[in-house]
Amino acid sequence: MIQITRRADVTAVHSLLSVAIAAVLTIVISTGVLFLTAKAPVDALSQLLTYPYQGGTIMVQWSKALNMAAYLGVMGLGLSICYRANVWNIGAEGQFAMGGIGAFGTWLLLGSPTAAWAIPCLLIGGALAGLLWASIPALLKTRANTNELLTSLMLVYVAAQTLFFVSNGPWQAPVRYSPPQTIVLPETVQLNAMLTGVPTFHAGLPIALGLFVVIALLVLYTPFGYRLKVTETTPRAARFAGYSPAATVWAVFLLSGALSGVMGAIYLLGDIGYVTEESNFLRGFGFSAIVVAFLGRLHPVGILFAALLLGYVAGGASWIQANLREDDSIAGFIEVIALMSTLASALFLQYRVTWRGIIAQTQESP
Amino acid sequence: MKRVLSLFTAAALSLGFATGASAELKVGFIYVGPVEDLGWTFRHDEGRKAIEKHFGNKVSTTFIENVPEGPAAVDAITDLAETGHDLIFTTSFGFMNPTNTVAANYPKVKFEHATGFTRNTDNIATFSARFYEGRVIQGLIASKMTKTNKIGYIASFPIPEVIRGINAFTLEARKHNPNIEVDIRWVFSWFDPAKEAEAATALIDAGADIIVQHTDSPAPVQVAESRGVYAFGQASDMSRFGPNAHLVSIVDNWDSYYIDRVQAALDGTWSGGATADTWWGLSKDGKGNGIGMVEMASYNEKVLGSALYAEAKALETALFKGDRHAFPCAGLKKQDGSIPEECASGAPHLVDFPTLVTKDWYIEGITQSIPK
Repeated sequence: MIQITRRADVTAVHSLLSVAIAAVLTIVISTGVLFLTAKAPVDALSQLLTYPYQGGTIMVQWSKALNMAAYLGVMGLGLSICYRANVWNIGAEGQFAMGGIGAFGTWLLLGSPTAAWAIPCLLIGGALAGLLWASIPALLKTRANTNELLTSLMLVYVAAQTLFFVSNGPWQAPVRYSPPQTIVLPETVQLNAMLTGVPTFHAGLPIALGLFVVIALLVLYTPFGYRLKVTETTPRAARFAGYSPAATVWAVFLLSGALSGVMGAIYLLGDIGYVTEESNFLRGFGFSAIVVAFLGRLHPVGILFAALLLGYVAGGASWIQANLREDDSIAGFIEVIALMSTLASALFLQYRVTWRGIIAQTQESP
Repeated sequence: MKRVLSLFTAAALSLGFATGASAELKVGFIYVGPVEDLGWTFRHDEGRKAIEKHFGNKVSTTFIENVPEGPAAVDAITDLAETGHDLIFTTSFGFMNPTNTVAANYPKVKFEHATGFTRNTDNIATFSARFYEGRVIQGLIASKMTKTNKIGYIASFPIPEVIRGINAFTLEARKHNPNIEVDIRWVFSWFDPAKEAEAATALIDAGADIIVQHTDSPAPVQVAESRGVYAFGQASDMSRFGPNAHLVSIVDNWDSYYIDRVQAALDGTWSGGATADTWWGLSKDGKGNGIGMVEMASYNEKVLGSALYAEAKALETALFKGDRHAFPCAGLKKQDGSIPEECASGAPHLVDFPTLVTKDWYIEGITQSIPK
């Protein structure tokens, strides 16, 4: 009988060590696979690591990495709040999609304005839509005690079908495109490249950074953050402290849903400009954000680094695909290996894994 | 561990000269499906290989496959421009806006967009084939081969290119057999073998004994073969997927256009912009001169019988030489019974520009309506 118990003597050194081990494992395995699969492994590896300085436009290349990191970071931070409270929201992708739909719907409700004052309204509309979408699993969890893992995930597919519906149905542009889409938001309502001239370096990035900092401070330094910490480490103590479990479920779902929703709105306003069917609108940010949350060990600083890492690797993978005709699925592979290494090293360093006789079953596990 | 370290050293050493061999011209392709789709994307990739074969070391080519037709396309096209590609072919209608977006950002790079009609900057050209000429031949064959008078038509997206194919097919089929009913199913995808097969099955269940497709995989031909009905191949020669079912394939042939354009880029004579739109049909000029972009391949003579085969070949020749047009004005009506504008003003047939490029109405005889 394998038994896993939390070590009582985990120190900061342990934590750093487990991160270091995970990093080494990721590098070794990823490099190995790249060398086994790539046509020109040495070029592929070096360009994967240094692509912003390989002859392209440096700003464009960095913007690819930072742009993706912004989505993964903010959504990953929102999800980490859920996971700290032992609430398993894996539906960020759907909340993100509804954020885009909500922002576009807000624009229509406001009478299709072309002035910049609409931008904050659309962002708020997106946040509200994501929040409402996340409130469904929260309601089901607190009222009917359904498993939020299932409901939040299933709602991703409902949101995807909603994207298909609005872009094929009520909001379809009068000029037909394949695939169907809504009309494009006026440029004055888009978060375009106000400062840099590089299209992906848009005003959504500072907004995302601001959100990230605010939420990180909330997690690290406020009573709400303390409550999360208590709930995460000792659920029983949280109950003794009078924290209502239902209120926690609501709080974390609504907060993470709103964060995913606002990122969906930023995506609409900054990167795409229109709503279209899911295979062209969604890019898996909501699922990668789950990986980022765990890669970052549910800590804001860790999540920041994890998001930057995955964003950078994804940019590099698309670079070697275009430049060397390598397969860009190496990015997804590295993402998975990093996650597995992190989870494994955390397991072995923060927990004690022991083999016990069958008798051990009768012992009370903490 | 030592090996890993040495690999890293090697990687570090290669940093300075990692950009690779220098060809005179770097040509990149963006594909909507996988190279192995055995249809649309496969034929574009054959065109890419024809470039490599023709120009050898003077030109290097690459491609990115399975690119969705949204913001991901902007990223992929940008990647090709960023990695120093001089000429970029984007080979799906849905890349129209992404191509225009990226072209505006990279004025020195040349862009070629397949089947689109927007050229906002001088560095974009568009090209398309008169696939509808092939649809006419399919219409003739279907009209003579069907017993149930029901034809199943698997359509991808309700865009002008697909609609004019449906129109050309229906017009010719009903000319020979007015009882024919064309049953159109929309799968809203270019390449989705499962959905395409599902649509084929549904159409056959509803009584269709001939399957026409405007999607990219051979799945419908395979379904037709297993169900004992007939089918036409699309984009590439699909005869091997249905030895008994397959009647003829419309094959896209981009080779000579691609070679022309690469040559022009090398010579400095390449041009794009408002008027840079090239359409070739069975013949290059529509009057019988030069091999065009549309080819009829692998007529199934055994199944067609010699009389029908000869009739189809004669029609092909007439279309090749321009003696016949796919949309003659005589008797041509829109679905609502009205007469198309240029026919009303006395033209002999519908014209490519602008009618056929942008038209989104069905002809008379189709009972369904275009999805809204």
